[in-house]
Amino acid sequence: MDKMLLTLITFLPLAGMVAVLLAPGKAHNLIRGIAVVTSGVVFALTCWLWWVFDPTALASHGYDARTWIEIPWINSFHVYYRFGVDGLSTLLIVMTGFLSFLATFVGFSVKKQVKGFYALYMLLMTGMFGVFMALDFFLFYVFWELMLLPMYFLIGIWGGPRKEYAAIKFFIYTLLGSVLILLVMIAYYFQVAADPKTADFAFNIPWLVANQPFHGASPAFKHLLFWGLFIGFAIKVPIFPFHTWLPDAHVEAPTAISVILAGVLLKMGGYGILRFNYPLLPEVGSTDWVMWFLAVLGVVNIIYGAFCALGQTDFKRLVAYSSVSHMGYVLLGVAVLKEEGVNGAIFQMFAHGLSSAMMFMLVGVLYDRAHHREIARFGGIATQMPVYFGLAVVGFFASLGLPAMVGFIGEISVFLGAFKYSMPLTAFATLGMLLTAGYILWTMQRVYMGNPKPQYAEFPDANKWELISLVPLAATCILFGVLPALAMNIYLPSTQLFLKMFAQ
Amino acid sequence: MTTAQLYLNCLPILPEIILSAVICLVVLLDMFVPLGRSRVVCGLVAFAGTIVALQVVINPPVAVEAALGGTFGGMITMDGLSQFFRMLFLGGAAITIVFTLGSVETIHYRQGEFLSLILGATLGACLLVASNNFLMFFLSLETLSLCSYVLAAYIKHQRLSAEAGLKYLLYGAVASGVMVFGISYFYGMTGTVQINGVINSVMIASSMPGFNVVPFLLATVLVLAGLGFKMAMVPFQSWAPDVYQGAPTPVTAFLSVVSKGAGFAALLRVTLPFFATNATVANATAGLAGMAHLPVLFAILAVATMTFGNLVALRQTDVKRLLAYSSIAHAGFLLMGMSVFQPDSARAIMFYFFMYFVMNLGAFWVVIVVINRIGGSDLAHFRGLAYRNWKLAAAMFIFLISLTGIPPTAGFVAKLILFKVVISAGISAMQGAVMTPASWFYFGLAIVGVINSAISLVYYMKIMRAMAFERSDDSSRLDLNWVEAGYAMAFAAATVGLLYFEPIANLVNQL
Repeated sequence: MDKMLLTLITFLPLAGMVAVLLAPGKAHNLIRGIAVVTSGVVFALTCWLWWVFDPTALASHGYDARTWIEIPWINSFHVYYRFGVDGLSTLLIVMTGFLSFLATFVGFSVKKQVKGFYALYMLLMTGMFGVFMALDFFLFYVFWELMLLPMYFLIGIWGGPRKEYAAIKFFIYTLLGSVLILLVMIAYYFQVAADPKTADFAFNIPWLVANQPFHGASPAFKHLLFWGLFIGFAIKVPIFPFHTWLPDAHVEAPTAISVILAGVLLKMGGYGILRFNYPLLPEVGSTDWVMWFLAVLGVVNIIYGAFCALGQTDFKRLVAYSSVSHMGYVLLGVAVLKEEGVNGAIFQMFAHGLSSAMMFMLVGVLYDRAHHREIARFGGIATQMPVYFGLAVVGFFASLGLPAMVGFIGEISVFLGAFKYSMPLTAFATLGMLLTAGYILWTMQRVYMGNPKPQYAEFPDANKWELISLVPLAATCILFGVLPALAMNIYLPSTQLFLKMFAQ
Repeated sequence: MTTAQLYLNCLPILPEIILSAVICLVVLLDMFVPLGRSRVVCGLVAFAGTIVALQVVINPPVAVEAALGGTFGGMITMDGLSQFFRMLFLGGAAITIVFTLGSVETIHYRQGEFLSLILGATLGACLLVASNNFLMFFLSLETLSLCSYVLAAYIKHQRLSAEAGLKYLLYGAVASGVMVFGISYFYGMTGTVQINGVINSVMIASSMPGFNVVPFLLATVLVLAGLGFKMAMVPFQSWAPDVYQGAPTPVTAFLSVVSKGAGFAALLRVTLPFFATNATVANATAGLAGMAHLPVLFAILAVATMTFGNLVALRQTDVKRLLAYSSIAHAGFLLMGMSVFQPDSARAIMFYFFMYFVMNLGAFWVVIVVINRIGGSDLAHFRGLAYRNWKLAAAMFIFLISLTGIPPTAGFVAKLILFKVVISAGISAMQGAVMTPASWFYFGLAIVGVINSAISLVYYMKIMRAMAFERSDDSSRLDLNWVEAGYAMAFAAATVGLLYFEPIANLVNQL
């Protein structure tokens, strides 16, 4: 059964998609029911994965042996159906299962083309899980691209006023990135498949990491490969200056999709950097100037994203830029190659997945009532919607990085790692925390505090569907803030393996 | 020739004999069956006959194995290449027959004629790929062409269709004339019209000192003109958009796969022996100057063809016409494989063609259904299709992303394998880590190919946009019958399912 687990998690949503497609188009509640059940079962399976995954007993290739699955798929091209998880992917898979389950409820606010919405949503889920599990380069690439089309349509059909522009921008940016990844994949294929003895490992990620086929290549070529992969993943993260698709896509996408975009899709960039970029080319990643450059780029992301967030008048756009800022911590944490930094980066991905998903839901709740998102026009919501306000406080403070909240652990851990690397840089980066506190508190003040406005007087408080998605997030934001070890223990051995590559 | 010998000679061309018999049968049936029923009766007979012929190609009678090599005094040759393409042509014909039955465009005309013309064209294509003699080669090409001319002009009362037929005929006549002129050069130089004989003489002569390449190249270019016309290769492409747009859509689908395939099959037939020698690659490592002329010629043609097709497609608003330009662009990609000149590249071309065959036929089927139900193939007719019938729209999305080359589809693996061949040609031309002109040449070609794929996304996306993001004035649901929906679904499933391409890779590796 454990052997089938990863396959089940990945392809069960596909079965859900077929069920949704077979349902009559008018039966909206039936379709929603199918989606809830499917994503619920998938979430339960991911929890089971968390349960059976033993971080202390990784196989020699660094992945969990019990769930590892490897079946020859296309012999003539050396493609394998190879799925496996380590601590990093397990954490992200559980997070993906959690968020996609909750976002299903958020999707209830979609009223038109419900069938199409949930069919594409399920397809997107398959793509997301596949990306986190595939350890065959070819398979990974297929899943990576598989997410592209559902996302394009989900933004383009169900999005806001500028949806088409946002959808095409997202599509082109992401496609550009994946072409770069494809080119690197082809380079590895040619290098490895040229020798009949190793040809069968051409797409085998653990093998490529362990054997470093480009070890003897010229540094210039290795840099080419490294930056090809990096830009490919950086677009997804998004790293400055490749971030411009993000505010548009997030703002125009329907709430449920913004949640998935911010919560899961951005993590794929970080995952790619940790799984492919550094392990495949450790020599480049540990070059002095590369470390400096990427660390500085991470700090730029933090500060720049925060300043942009400060300047926004649109509530959702503000949250989108806060994502740019928060994902900067991930890059900073990885780039310094210190244990605390990498641990912090992974935790920050997890934390940002929870907190940004919650913030987008909170914005969505308000937007569903007010039908606008202009911060300046809100005010005094706290008195009108007390329960909602209570949850908002949790979500925003988690994002702010308040101690005992999930955001704090990731940030402080990243800073500890960065501090060992360079004190001035870290000192400068802490400015980001200040700015974050600034824009979040200021926004809360403008939206929730102040005198109640008469036009918002009849706003009902959060309803049961909104509570179903918001309360678990709020609970986890606090839980993992108080007990970070719950999440951290699962990936600590994997980060040690990761860092061993740079030890020499 | 004794009866036994004749029998042995005939066995390899049993599929063609069956086809000829079916053609006669269909024409006869058409006379006796009343008009209302002729559509179904003739259609089923033609379909069944094609399937039987296809079966014979797939499972040849035992004696064919013995006759492998040549028959009818070396006129006909049976090998992996001809088996593969005959299979595709017969499959394409069977699918076209179903398309015809499912399309309303030709409903008011007698079907017997139409179907027998399709079978006739298929017969020509099958013989073309198997012919080992320039005379046979030319005759089968003309059989294919003549049937195609009539098919293009089949909707007699429509100006566009008539124009298509006439244009096709005029261009085709000139191209054939040029080709025969080229063949006469070969005959003059070598004294034979046997294709393998000509090739042997050329190979022997080219290894002699003082070999003058000019007449040889001239003759090749002239023959290439005739084949390039079939392939819709620049600069012989100008008939394609008008013919594709004007012809009944099942015919367009037929031309875009079977007729184009025949061109490539014939091209491979005359160039394959050169591939096997690997001589050109050895020359290529010596640098661009020492490189044989043909790879360079094919590369130039490939770049011109794909770039032209893609750039002009950007401006199209009629989906049929747009797909015509897209098929020109795909011919360019296939030619890119020709420029590598290795057995591997021939396999990659066949592989690509198989994938193209599936996705392109699927796309044309959606066009046929849209014409049936909405009444035209303009971009405006595709507006809001996703809301009127999501199954049809979803199938079209899959074909379009496959034509672009985005996973998880057949088009992706096709492009991947093709680019792999081109890049590995570049790598093998490198001397150690040093780039040679030849490796720059192949890497450059691959880059042009990638850029062209990116351009093609723009116009394919135009159709996707119209289907998903725009609304039509008439937003009523489109109800399809089970043939229309089922066929679209089947092609879409095949396009995605071919991501598992092992069987096809094995099939072409038999070459």
